[in-house]
Amino acid sequence: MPEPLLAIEDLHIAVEDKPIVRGLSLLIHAGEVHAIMGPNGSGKSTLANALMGHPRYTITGGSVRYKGDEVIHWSPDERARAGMFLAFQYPTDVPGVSMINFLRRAASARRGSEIPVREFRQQLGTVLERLHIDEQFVRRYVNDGFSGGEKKRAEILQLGLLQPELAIMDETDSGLDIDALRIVAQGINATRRDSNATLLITHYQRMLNYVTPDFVHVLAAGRIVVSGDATLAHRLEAEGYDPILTEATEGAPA
Amino acid sequence: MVHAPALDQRLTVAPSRDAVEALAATLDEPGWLRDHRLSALATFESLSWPSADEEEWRRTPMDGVPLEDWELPHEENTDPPATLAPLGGDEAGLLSHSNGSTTEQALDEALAAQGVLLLPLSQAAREYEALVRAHLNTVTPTGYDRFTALGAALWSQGLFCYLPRGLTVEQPLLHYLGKRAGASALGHTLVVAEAGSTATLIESCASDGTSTSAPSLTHHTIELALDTAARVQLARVQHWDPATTAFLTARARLGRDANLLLASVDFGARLSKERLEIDLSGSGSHADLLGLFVGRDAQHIEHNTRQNHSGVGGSSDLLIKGALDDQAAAVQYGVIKILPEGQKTAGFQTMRNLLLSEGASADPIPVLEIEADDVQCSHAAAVGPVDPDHIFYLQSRGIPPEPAERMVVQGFLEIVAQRLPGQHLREAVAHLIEAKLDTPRASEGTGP
Ligand SMILES: Nc1ncnc2c1ncn2[C@@H]1O[C@H](COP(=O)(O)OP(=O)(O)OP(=O)(O)O)[C@@H](O)[C@H]1O
Ligand SMILES: [Mg+2]
Repeated sequence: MPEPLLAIEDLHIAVEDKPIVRGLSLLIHAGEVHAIMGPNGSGKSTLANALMGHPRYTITGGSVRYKGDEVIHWSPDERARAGMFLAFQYPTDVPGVSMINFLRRAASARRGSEIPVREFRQQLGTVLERLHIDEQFVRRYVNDGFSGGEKKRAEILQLGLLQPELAIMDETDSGLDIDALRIVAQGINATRRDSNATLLITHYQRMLNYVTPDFVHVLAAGRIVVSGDATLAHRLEAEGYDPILTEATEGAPA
Repeated sequence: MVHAPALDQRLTVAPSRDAVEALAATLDEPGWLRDHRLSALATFESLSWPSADEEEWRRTPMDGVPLEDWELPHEENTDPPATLAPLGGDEAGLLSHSNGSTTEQALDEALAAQGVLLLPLSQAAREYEALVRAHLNTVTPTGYDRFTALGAALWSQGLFCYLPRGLTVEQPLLHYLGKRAGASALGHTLVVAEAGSTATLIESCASDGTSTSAPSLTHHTIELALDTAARVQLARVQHWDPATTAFLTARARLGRDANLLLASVDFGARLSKERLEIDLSGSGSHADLLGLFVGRDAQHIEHNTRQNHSGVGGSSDLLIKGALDDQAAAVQYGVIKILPEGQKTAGFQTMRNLLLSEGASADPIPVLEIEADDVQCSHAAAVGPVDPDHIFYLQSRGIPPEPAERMVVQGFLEIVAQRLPGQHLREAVAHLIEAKLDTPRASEGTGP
């Protein structure tokens, strides 16, 4: 097996001195799609934000290697330029900063050099068309006054433009309408088996109907308690978390 | 190049009868205006400088404000200062003042033929006596305080703008005000907008100089008289040198259904204190008040605003936003006053200050004085650093922290800048914001 794209080992994350993620390990190889499911408050967004380097989330133990490099001490912008991407569960609005200016800066940063205006417009046009997003959208300020679904679409737009190697999508499906969901799924499927990998955080089978994950992990109380293939998600959908979590705890050594 | 003034053109002024008469003679003013100035001089002499006992002066650091021995030049043929932001390209007319004299004057011929006036105030007083007399110092009385009295007695950079009934001036009218370092300047802008007229006036003031230039004082009075349904936008960009103390008293009176946008954009001066006061006496009148500033070093930037509602169904909206770095300080003292007769009015104010350093500070104080019962009012005041979540969001897309912070600060100011009239002005202001944020600290290089 080649080197994993992302190797998380015994990761501990605290928020304001409160331990949230407590010993999480996960290997993601290029070409794979992983889904993480889990009850509200189990630590999914904490994991996602910490992987991206959010300063409010403190890594208190373990390691995160991206393409073999330990990234715990990398700044968020370094991680992004190296090809990591997080589609936020709750994207922040940045009033007064236009989407188009923001996207051009981001695309230039990702590429490592200033993208000429013309080339950028062409690239952006292609992505907008593929995602069926109106051009007027990018004239607005970043997420400012966007509806819930529009914010998610804006995240997808960035994903499409920045072409990360590792995309972490934190409940991007929540709030998207069916058409948008299908388009997002097409995007993920189109880049599958390339050098890219996707980590989908979701509560719903609906998303997984469009993108069949290679692995499904159940996160509870800051740990991955069960992992399986796509059928695990079906079981969760049918039975809920309780039986599976009970099974996992009973099976585990006391 | 700037021509060195002959010594006899220099005028170090102690306000006196002789000084007023000499100025009136130099500007070739009619007797009535000279007498008006002399009566303002008497008012000046009868008043004392505002003191810290007064609510609106309590937070103003008056130490170091030069209150005597101003050099008020009257120099011909001086070039405008290099820092003066060029806002032109599409203007319908312009008037330039530098070091006390008029250096340029132009107005679109078609507009002139239709009765629009854009003139030095002294010339207007000579040629349109009845019109000027009927309005001069009616919106801002000479005795409003000692600064306005001083200005009324000794202004030399005056502008008169007259908009005839029903006429629309599409392109902006420009007023440039320049001075050299060390020179003081007193100015007056009088705008009379007849019923149904529309225009935009942009004032830009600047001086070359450094913090070590001789201390100087500026005061400018703006009077805006808007008749029924007149629509006027006045934006002022202030870029005086850092040895200047700058006062502005801008007041407006709005007739029925009149609409005003009054914007002040501040970059320069060691101390800038601006009073922006709107008298919404006409029913259904509306005013937007905008303030935008970037403070650096030890600058003090202060706004005292009043939204006075006495007309029925009027509305006013104030938005002031500024970024403060180094040891800069800002004060906003803003009053919405709704008189008993001001029913069905709406008054809003928002003041937001972004602190970019530990040493920067801001004190926004919204005040509501409501004497009517059927009104809608709100106010919001904020002081704080750049939101780390904003920075993280941009960083998470690959943008390094410094440019990310810059984008957030510019975005914060953009919310006000985008409401300024005219593409040229918006572009110039965006450029000035960037330049001001880029300026190295005054203390830089002298540290360890
Ligand atoms: N900034 C914070 N301050 C305090 N507690 C926090 C903070 N962020 C997260 N937590 C706590 O950490 C726990 C995990 O939160 P997290 O957002 O990771 O859950 P989640 O699995 O993403 O839940 P959901 O499915 O609702 O999105 C919760 O108990 C939450 O209250
Ligand atoms: Mg979450």
